Amino acid sequence: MNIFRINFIFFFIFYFLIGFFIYKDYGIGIEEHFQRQNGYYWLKKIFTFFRLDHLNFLALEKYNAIRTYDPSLPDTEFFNFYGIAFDTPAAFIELILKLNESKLYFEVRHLLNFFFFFISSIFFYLIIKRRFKDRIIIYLGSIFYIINPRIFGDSFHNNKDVFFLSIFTISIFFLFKYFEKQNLKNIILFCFFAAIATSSRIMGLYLPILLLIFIFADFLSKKILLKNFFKQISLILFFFIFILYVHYPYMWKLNILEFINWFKVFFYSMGLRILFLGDYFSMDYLPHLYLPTWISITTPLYIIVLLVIGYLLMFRRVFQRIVNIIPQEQPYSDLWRSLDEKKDLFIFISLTSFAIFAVFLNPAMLSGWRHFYFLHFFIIYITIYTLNLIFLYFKRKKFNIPIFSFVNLFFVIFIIRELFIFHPYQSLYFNSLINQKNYFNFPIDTPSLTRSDALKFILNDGKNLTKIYVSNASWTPLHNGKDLLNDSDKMKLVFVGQDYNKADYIYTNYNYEVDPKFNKKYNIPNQFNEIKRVSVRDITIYSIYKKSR
Amino acid sequence: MRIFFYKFIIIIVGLFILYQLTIGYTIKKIQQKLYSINIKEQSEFIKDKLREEIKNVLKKDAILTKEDAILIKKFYLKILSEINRVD
Repeated sequence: MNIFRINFIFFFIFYFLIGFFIYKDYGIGIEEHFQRQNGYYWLKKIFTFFRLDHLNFLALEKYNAIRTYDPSLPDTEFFNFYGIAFDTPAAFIELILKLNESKLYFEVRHLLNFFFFFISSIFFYLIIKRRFKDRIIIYLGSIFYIINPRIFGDSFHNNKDVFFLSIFTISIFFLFKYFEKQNLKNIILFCFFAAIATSSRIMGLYLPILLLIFIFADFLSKKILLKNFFKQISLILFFFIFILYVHYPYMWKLNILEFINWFKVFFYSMGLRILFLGDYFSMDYLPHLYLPTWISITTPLYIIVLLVIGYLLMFRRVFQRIVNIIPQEQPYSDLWRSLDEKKDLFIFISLTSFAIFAVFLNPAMLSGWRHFYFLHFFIIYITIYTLNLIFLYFKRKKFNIPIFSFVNLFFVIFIIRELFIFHPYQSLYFNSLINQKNYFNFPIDTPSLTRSDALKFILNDGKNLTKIYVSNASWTPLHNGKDLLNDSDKMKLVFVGQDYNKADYIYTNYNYEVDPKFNKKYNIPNQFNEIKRVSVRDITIYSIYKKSR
Repeated sequence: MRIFFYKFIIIIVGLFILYQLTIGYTIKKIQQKLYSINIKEQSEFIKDKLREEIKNVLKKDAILTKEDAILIKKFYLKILSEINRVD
């Protein structure tokens, strides 16, 4: 084993230990209660199918308890198209390990989510190791994949989008392996992970489709024969559909005659209004620049600059390749000239098509850009692509390589410093484009992470009260935040919604579904004084008000 | 075949982007305006504002200046006499 590999093993052990020591610091994400319910929904279906009566009874008991505890959760019967890959195993672990304390089972979910992201970071390392040869570039790629603040924070509590990013990354690893060697093992492994990605988010369907287009391009370039072309296409379609069908119950509802209706649920919109650039927009008709703006303000600027440069360079190369294609078969007269170029082209086309989709086709988005967190993979890949070109330029010109390393080390330390500053709210990270003067133009605590911390503070402040009445001046489901508290503390809290007259304390994270200019339902009454305001880099995250006696 | 395929893809994507940047952009702007205005919410806001203003005015000792009061009185009497004449 060479020193390089040993260093990386230590690097990943170190990263895992960091995650292991901090996973308890994070609050509960806004969708976690629903996802837990979703897990039990599927678990009882599976136990019924296999006639495991005792386990089915336990799962049913848990499911009913969740429904009784919080009837406001969305109905799983309607939203039953996601969650089989993460929520069901998480519910199974909770059931088998008899985790009955809410704090414990949410923390276990957080650890599990982090674990999946950790595994995906190893696969990302393997992807860039096969693509870029220089160690320093591989180091930087692995570090950037991990330390992008929003992704780092969400890797502990976002069981949907970051889980999808993780599976997406693993799928692309096997897709690239398939590019390298077209054998059955790589096809099956790719189809397995692509199917899991698809059952986690419908966007995963994109992976086999683009792979088939690449195989078709290979056929057009006469790199594969017609017989082999059909063989590969058939195998991919068969394994992908088979694995998807076996593990994804929503597929069982697929009726070919109602194909469009089957897809409609994935584009269901809650019809909410979203704060963006200071105005409230319907989430179905967001401005074209919604996604690019969110990515630009929540990703470290260094990564953004490298991404833009890299994307333009990739675009130039693709353009040159297209222009130089001639009808006659000649070496290099193709869209790519090497395996590495083929991988780069895959990344370029993927990012471009998702950007076109997000910008022009009105997908319903909320909570910033979390539905598109899987783009993080492409963003970091292109960032590393740019760094690699700069590195090669330095080498060619015989510049000092330590200068290159030092500059990048500086930016890595700068981003890690941001992780410390925002901890445990890295999911609410904004880069320096957002400051005290303009942060209120965007929603901040969209994952509702601050709820538990706020309730802990209220409990401590009101420790002399037998019951503490808490009101909520925001759209956040505050009552669910109590699940990271001890049972005795939970009993003390009484949630009174927007009935401020009854409240001892009011919590707000300034996250509204209505425009507060016109709707006064979240206005804090005069008899309440602000006793706590939590800000990170002058960005106010949440406040607590107390009734004056 | 190969060149035809690539050209076809590029033209389709190009036309789509062109459409979105011209006609699509205009349609989206209209949709945004239509769906982002919450008429109920805004009318409630205006009603509340009116109520608030009336309450503030009622707190004052005098709403009108002496000149305005004379003017409105004359105007009111004039209107009243014209209405009576109709009968």
